[in-house]
Amino acid sequence: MTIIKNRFKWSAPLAMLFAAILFTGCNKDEDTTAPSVNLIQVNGEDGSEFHVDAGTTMSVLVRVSDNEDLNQLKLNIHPAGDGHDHEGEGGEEEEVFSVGIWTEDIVTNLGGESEELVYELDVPSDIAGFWHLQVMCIDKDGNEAEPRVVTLHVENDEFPAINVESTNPEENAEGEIEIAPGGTISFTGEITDNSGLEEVHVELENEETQTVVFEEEIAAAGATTWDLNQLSVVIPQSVESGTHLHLHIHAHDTDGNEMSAEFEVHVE
Amino acid sequence: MKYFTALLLCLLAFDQSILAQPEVHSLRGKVVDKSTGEPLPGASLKLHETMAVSSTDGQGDFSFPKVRSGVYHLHVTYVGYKAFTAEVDVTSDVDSLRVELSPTSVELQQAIVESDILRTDYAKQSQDVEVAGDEFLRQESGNTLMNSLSAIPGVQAMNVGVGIAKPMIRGMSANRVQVNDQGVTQQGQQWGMDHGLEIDQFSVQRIEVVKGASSLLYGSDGIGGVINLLPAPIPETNTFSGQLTMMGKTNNDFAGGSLSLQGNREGAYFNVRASFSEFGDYKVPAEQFTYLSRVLEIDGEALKNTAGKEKNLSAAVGLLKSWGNIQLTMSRFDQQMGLFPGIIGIPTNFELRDDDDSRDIDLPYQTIVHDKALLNANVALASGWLDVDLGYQRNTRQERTRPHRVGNEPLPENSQALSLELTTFSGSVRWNRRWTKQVKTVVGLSGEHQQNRAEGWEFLIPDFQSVSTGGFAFAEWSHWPAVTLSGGARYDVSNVATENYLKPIYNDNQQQVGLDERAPQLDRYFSNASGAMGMAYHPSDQFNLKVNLGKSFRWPVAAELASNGVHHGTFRHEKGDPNLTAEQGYQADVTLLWIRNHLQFKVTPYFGYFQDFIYLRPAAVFSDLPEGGQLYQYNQADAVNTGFETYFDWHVIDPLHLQFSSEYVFQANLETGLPIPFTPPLTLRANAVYEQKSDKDWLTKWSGGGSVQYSAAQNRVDRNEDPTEGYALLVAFVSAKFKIRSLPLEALFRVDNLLDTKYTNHLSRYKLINLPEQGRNFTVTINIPFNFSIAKNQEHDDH
Repeated sequence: MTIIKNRFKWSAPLAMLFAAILFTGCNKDEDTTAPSVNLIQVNGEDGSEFHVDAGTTMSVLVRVSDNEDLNQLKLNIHPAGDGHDHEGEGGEEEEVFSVGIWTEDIVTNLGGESEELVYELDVPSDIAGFWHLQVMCIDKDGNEAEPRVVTLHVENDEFPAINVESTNPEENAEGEIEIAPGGTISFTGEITDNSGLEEVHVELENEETQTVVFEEEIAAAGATTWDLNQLSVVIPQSVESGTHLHLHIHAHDTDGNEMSAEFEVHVE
Repeated sequence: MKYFTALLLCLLAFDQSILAQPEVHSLRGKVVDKSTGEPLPGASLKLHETMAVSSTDGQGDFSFPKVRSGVYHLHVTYVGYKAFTAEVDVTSDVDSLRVELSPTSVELQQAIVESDILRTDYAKQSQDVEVAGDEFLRQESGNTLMNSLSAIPGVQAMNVGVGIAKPMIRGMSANRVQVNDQGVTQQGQQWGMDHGLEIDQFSVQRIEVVKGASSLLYGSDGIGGVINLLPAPIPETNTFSGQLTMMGKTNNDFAGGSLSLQGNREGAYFNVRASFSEFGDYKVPAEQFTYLSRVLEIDGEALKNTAGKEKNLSAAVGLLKSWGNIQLTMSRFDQQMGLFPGIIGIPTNFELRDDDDSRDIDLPYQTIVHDKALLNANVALASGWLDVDLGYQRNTRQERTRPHRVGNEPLPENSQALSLELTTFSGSVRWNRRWTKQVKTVVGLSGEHQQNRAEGWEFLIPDFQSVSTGGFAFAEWSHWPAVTLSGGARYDVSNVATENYLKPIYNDNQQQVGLDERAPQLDRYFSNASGAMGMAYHPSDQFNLKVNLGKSFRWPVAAELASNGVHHGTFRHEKGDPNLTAEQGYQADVTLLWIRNHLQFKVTPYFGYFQDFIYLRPAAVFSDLPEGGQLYQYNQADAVNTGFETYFDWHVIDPLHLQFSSEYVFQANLETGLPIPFTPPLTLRANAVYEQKSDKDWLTKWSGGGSVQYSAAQNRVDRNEDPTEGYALLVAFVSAKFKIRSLPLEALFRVDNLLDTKYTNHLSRYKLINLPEQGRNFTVTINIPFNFSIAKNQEHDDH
């Protein structure tokens, strides 16, 4: 138990008052200039989105600078999305998903006005999808650089690859498939896997009510290529107009790897 | 609770005359115009000690039938006349008290401006008090109560979007501004920058703002200032009335309303109110915003997921008798507010996409339920009175976000990121006594007990319990006719005990490998002395000088001692310091007021020196938590807070009023010379209101006006804080009081940000991600008061 008592001394506040008046406005030469993260290169390339292969070593080059004295750099890798998002970088509209676990948090001590660091990071062999690589930097006074974020698209041959060329009906400008109750959605494209697919599972879910309105499981019997025209998704007549549904296509291979593709469906 | 009853009995025992049988008399009189002698019908009268109200009839006569022997402040107000307070000594029936009112066109003089605790005339108080009445609040009709109050110079609103706002006085907020609702301090985790004030804006009819050192009367947290939300006036005896208010706003499709009913039968009265409001995403005049060097879209120029809804219910019952007044009020505040996706991490373009439903509140969102039970009593004693305010509050805050995996932790099972339940019992007793014509004292005792329970998969603050108690004595001495001296001393003690918090640590295989003590167990005791002394020089109605010197304090709260977690949107890891000591403030407030015929000019400079001022500062090292950015540590340093407000009011010609005001705050950390973060910029306001009475059958009066607000650029920023650009905002409004078949109806049309200016508010939390504030917004408010009273049927002008 600590008892903290504050003694009331009049001399203290009066002296401080004069000091305050004298020192007010003086910035005392505090450094408030932030450092900057000038460059992030992955595997020797520039850009904001990079393709890397699972199970390989990725080389990340980071260049930072400050007007006075750098203190620390933090490199962080975390999943980019939670399965339902669309990222629109480089003109490509790709679904943002992250399968598997990969996190990195590396803090490096720095000094001086500029530094260039190279990190050799192992990309896990059991992940696929989109991750964010974020670089943050602070100087000796605590000034923070504007963090720099790049996207890593991890490609993994071990995972099934769902390649949807088109849907019928096609997605509209907002990325939704508009369809009336009773209608059927069909797909062109294929699912490929290097070890062989076990099954393809499709479900249509109403996220608001947490109910699945359509579900189908099709055994794939170890096929390494599976034609998507085998899938047809029927919107039940009972679904009300205006409902928003999520369509998931899950592909499981014989090694236990799973990949998903998601679509937004708007019932007219 | 036992302590308070015991204390109450002790205090009552001091006033021996309470044991004797009280005598009851009648108080009757007439209110007239001083110069013409004409009676004034419909004047409002109030006996401040017992809260009894009355009004004059067609002949200007009034009566208070049952008044106990004693000395009372009788307040008389009437629009267009100077408010008048008479000290009436009632020892036998008073049959013909003549109250003479003088006309004035200076608004300040028309209202009773009296500190609710001290009940001293404004002129004699040593600190400036601003009073906002219901007409002011309706005219300003901001998105939240605090936005309406920000029109008062020196008062600012710190907001998160449009539905959440907290008060700031002279650059100080959170636990440095105490908000009291009916005498009970509002406790709602106000340390949080994204925690707004849980009060139904429709229910507040009168607010008192005290800027500057206020610890003497209010304790810790009165270091920056106090906002007193005063209760609705007690309905007049044998009346039954109500009010319906409806409000709509275009910018965020706001629709809301409030219905209240009140009645009084022979002194037993009640008051009930229900308010509902719902609004959609708010629109900004921008198509994109930049965050972390990425340009992100603002689809449809509306900030997605900034919708919200709120419902409020309150009921009060009370007794108004000759001995005083006792009232029990119960209320519930229930709000759900969407949070812009970017505020909890890097938003993706999908999250920002218009989902065709602007009213939809999706994750992430915040819910707050604040339940209150208040007991207020006002007991008249032979030469003074007793004020008792007891309260029970339960504040439940939840933050719900899409479950996301942090580091090696397993994916959370639900969306309840954070849940905080704070239960507070508080009470205060004050004995107010006038000893002689020149000397008056107030002695008070207060206490508070708090308990916090935290849940959720994110950790921010631990479970804690705190107990505090304090006592003060204050005296006022008017020895000379033009000078009033006042002063007092106070002593407070408190104990804060926080529980330790252990978070599991996981390895790469999601196996738990240990526990991390995020918050230690703490048991801290604090004790503080505070006080104030002041002087008011009031040689005439036309000049008033006030000087107040105060010593205040503020205890560090549990969040400042023991928080330890990554706070949303800023990537900052905020960490408390268990060894913090209380802040000590040495403050001087000066008020200069000149009143001439049609002019009023007020200047209020202030200076405060703070020892051990607590705030978050960068630690220059990274957090060891996954995704955590820089570690921000609660630190203490000496600081200065100074500035001024000016207010100029000119009643140019009878219907036209012009007002100019300015406010400026300068804050700096004295050790580094750097500014304190979130310092409000220099703000200038110009207001013009044209009001015209009408003798048409269907129209009582109408008014129109506008204002310009200019906020300068704020370049005085702390490390890692972004400066904001200056901007000007235009407001215009038209209002009218109609009379449709003798039913009064008030309508107000108002447009905020008339020019659809794109601007960032330096005090907004959304400035951290460069989000602009609301664009042009049209508001329509309809207010219908109705009366079922059988008694007099006169027009009452509200103040």
